Amino acid sequence: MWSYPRMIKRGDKFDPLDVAKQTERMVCRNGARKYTAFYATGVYGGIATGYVVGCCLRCFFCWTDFSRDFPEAYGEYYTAEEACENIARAAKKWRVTKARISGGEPTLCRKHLLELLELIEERDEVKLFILETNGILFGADESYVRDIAGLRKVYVRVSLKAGEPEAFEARTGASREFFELPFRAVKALLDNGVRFHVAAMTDPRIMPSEERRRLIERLAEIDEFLAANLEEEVCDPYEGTLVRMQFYGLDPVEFFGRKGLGTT
Amino acid sequence: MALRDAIKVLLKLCELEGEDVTLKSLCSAFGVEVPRELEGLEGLPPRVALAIAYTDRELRPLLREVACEVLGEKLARPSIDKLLGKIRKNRE
Repeated sequence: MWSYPRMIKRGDKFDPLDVAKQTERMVCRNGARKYTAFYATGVYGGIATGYVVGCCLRCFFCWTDFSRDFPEAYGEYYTAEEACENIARAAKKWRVTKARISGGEPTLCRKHLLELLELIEERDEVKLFILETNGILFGADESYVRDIAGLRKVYVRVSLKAGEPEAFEARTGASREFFELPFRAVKALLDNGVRFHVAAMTDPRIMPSEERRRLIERLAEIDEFLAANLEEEVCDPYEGTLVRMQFYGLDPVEFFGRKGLGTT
Repeated sequence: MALRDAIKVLLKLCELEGEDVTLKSLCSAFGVEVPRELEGLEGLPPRVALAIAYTDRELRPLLREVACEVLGEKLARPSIDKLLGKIRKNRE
């Protein structure tokens, strides 16, 4: 019997497109999407943030709160208009001109996202909107990429989780046959003239150096500049990370070191 | 500094801090002049500024050329320096 995947253990695997659909049933409703908060934070030199609920991957190193694992239990529904208003208000309050959706996977609830991005285009408070995605849905359907390609404020950050199919499955829980999707997203973004860069969880405690090398080479095959401008992510000991890691079968104290545990 | 050299320096500086500061502040911290071609992008994180510059058809060939030069060094390193430093510190 199929059950909704929450935190993963070694060996777990699922179809991320199916999980995306299941999650959408819990976090999208008539064009509205579940959010847990609107605020501004210091990353990107200061950015207004809408924290969305729900993702289609289950990375054991994920930093987000437990709304990723229990989307039915967290958040409130906001229409695109309400979300835009709250994001613009946070930007104005904290005097920042960048905005993003973070926490969950923003490309879930396509209708909501596209409406929100259209509304952001009209708002003076926001000059740049950073769309942080795992690339699964963009890779599965290039028409989604084309939908955002004409939006002048949109900037995409695609975060890769692995450089090999087996590692992709082991770290995210998503079956290895879907490994290509984020790379397809990268190619589609490039082909459609979207402004973006690629990030990857290359932390050597998670990704062996040979795999990192293959990931960079793979990116360079698509485009050398994307590989040279790769943002290399570091795994930090957030509460959600520690719990997911323990559940996965890794000892967080061993992983981060005693001093490292209190650093977030 | 010639644009080619500046781009090369910026790509390397992004390895130290590419997301959480502005291009202007990163350049200022390392005594690098913001290239004239990137002046409109000063307020953005350096990596974002470079990625946006890459969508400029005139700048793209030069950026790609410099990227190829930097890529060899990136591949040769086992991992990012800032991370290795952090890990070592936490394990002490």
